[in-house]
Amino acid sequence: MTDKKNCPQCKKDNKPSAKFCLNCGFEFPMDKSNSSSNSDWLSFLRQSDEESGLNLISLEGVDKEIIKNDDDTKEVPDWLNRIREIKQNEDEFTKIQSGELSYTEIENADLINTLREEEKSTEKNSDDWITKFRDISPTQENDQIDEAEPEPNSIDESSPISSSLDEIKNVWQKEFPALHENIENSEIEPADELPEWLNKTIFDNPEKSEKADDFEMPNWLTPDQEPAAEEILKSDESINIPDWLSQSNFLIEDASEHDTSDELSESLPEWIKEIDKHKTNQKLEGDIEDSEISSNSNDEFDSVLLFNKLDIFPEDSEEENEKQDDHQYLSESASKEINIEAAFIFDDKELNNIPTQPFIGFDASSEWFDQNILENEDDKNEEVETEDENSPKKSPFVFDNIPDWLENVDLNFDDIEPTEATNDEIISDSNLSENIIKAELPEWLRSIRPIEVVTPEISRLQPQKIIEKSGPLAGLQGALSSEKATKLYSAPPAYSVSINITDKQRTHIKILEDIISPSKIKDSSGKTKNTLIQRFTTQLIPIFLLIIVLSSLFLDHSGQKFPELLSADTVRFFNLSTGYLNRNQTPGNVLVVFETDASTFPEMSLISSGFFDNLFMNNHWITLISTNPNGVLVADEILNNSRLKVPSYNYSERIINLGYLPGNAIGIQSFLTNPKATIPEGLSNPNIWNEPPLSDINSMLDFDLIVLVSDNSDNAKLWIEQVDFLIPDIGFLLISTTQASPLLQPYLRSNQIDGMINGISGGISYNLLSNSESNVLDRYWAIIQVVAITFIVFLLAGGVISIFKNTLSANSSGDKK
Amino acid sequence: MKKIFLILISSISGFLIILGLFSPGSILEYIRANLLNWAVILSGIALLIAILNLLAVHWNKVFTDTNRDIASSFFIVGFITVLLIGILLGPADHFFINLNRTIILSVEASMMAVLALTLALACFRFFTRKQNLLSLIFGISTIVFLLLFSGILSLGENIPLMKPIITGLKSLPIAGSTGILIGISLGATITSLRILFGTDRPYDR
Repeated sequence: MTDKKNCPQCKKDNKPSAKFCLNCGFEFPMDKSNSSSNSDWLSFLRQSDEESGLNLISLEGVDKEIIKNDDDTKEVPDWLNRIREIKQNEDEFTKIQSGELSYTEIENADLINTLREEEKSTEKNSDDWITKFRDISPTQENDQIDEAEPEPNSIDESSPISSSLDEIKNVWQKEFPALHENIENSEIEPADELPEWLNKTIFDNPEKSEKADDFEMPNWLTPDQEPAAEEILKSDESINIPDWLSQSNFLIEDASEHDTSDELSESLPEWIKEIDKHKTNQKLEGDIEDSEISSNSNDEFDSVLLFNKLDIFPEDSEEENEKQDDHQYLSESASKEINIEAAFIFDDKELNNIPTQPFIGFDASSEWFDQNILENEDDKNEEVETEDENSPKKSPFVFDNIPDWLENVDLNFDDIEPTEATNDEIISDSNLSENIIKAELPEWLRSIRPIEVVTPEISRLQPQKIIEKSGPLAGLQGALSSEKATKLYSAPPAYSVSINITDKQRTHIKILEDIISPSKIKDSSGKTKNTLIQRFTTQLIPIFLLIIVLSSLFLDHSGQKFPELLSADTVRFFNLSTGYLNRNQTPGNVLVVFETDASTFPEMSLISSGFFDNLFMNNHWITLISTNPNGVLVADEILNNSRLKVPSYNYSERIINLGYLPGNAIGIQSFLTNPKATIPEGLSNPNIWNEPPLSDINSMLDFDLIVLVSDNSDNAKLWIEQVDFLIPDIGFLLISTTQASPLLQPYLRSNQIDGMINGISGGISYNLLSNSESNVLDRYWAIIQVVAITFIVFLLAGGVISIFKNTLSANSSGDKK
Repeated sequence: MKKIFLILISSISGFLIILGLFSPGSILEYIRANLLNWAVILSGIALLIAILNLLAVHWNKVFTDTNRDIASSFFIVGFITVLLIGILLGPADHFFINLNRTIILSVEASMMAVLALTLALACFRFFTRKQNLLSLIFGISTIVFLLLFSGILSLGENIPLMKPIITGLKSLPIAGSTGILIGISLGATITSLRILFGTDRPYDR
């Protein structure tokens, strides 16, 4: 009871947090703490208000309660401040003209008193209906207030607000005397915005109102008009207020009245009934203050949620909703003290025609209304001023367009707690949220739900995006769309020319594997064990072979016979090499490509030594390169052996080692296309291309001869194909081992190679042609022949042994039979 | 989208190189030369990666808890030693070259000698395992070509019928290798066309 605010103008109880009287629009005085935050211009106005307030206090008939409250007198609406400011300026102007300052002050007070007396009859008429309308359902709180106030109806005359209204009227009379006369003649003219039933209630003479005839009753109100309640009928004036509307006003006043007006409640709309029941139950449950607080909060939710569901906010609340879409903001705004300025600047006509219930059918005492609707009344005031007066008024509720799902809205939001910004309530909300019953979605909301909610199976079929777990993108889904693609990359497989192996060929490989691998037998314990013959052969054959080879080294090979018919390939090689190198009568540039492993170094050294000896003796320039990492070492070793044979040759000057060329076929093609760009530096000299012999080399055609030394047919094939395609005019010779020669012979037959030395026999032939020393080759030639015969013997011996073994086993099996 | 992107890159690169090959002196040849240089550089980096991978494999073999291979420690020691010497002395230093040459040539030549011994043993066991027609043909051909390439048969070239026979026998390996090379060339051509037109994508596996 003590928390409620009593309006000094209309004696209507309002909520403690209310800034304006919901009944008459009177602005309640604000706290000093909040007023201190006002801007300077407001404090300036407040000073003028104090001066005027002191004058008003001295007037007659001032209510004692209002006088006691100084803050109330200080807090005057802005519209009144502006009027006072105008009046103060006029007073100053009057002082300047007459110089009678004291007289002006007295004159103002007298003028206000006289005007108040003149308007007293008119104000009584305007206040009668409000008083009657209010007294139909007086609450207990109002009863207590009435006991303290002897004459509630006369409070307007003595209140500072009424006196300020008199001042307004005084100013208005000065400004518009003609209009004032019309007002006096027509007494009170009903406002256009008021409905007809309200005009009838207020004014006795509707025929005097010209604009009232043009007024159209809103559609939302017209069909519900019914005879007024009995209490209203008892009054002097007949009011055509719809019974549901009049009853709905009482809902706010006193719930007990509903019990006695069942007949009236039957005519109410359904949603009003539900609200009525809801509020009645709340008030009957517990303590009055507690129930009021809870009902206020619930009513706030009722209003907000109802507006949300209807999606038809009032105009001023729509602007508010643009700023605060969520309910949390509403609760925050409710907890703040907001400086609210005057809602309307009324003239005399409007002041008299102000309805006591601005929002019929709603709980006007709710905080939502106080905080949000009245908060932007300045904007609303501007809209009201610019609004067309003849425009038809529409209800904020269009009940004909209520969707089906809204008809079944459960307005009992007891389970929902208002989100006040306090920690305790937040904690309690978390507990209560667990008990909230699952809501049923309306049809239109179901239709726009994500498909994952309805059919989760479909969402599983969609590609799952990775949610980042760390880093600045943690928590984002699918932020790195290229991450998955990078994981798909893997090392490209090593491509080689391979032959598809059939089952038959696989069997042959198995046979070869069995031949090479030693045969094992299983003993009684299951362990594999080599037989005696296998042990003997495994040790005896290598020993026998080594003895033959070593003994052949110490034999006399002077009587060794060489082939009488030299190989045509070797003859061609010798002729071309001699011709290319000696055609200019000057030392030529020879590019020697070593594609040799170190394992074949002994054979390759024997084969190629004669050729390099010849190069050294003719003092040719030699450039070395290799696509095999070991080829550089083999080349260096072979050339070092030749240097020992030809010490006159300037090895360090005339031999350039370019080193290793990576990239296989690509590197070969790049080198043959542009050797300087491919290998800009040498192994020992970084400026190889600026010094002889490479200083004269700009392309591969500047070389006189290219010699390929290879023991690998695949790598040799790459060089042959590239050289034949890119530089077909250059001399290209080949030195190969016996192992690689069969696969390289076709290139020689197709003239892609000019000449070829293959194996030991080819080396011997070259030595024979070039008249070089071939003592080492003679020795190895003999050893090769001996070893070849030895291998044949091993092969035949193994066959003979297997035949005897099979024969013996066959005989033994025959004897057993 | 990724496949299309990769196909475009490979196809455009291949066609640029081919066009640069057939249009010397043009900008296409310049592009081709640059592309080839890039490939050479990448190949060199790949070799370094391979060396590091080899070192990592042996490092794991030495320092693993189970099935520890002590032999890998020799590789690690040798690798680090040669690397340090090469860094300190430089790749053109004679000591460094002789060190590498001596080790590599000796080891690999020894491996070839072991292979010769293994083959000698395989010759002895050849007919003890299989006694069918194919093994007989294989054995006979082995004997013939050992005699032929060792130069033993060349001693009888003066015999009237021996020379054409020896010439005919020597042409047999050439005939076989020619057939193999033709098959390899056709396969390489088709593979190149498939890669150029995106049918085969060795980079997308």
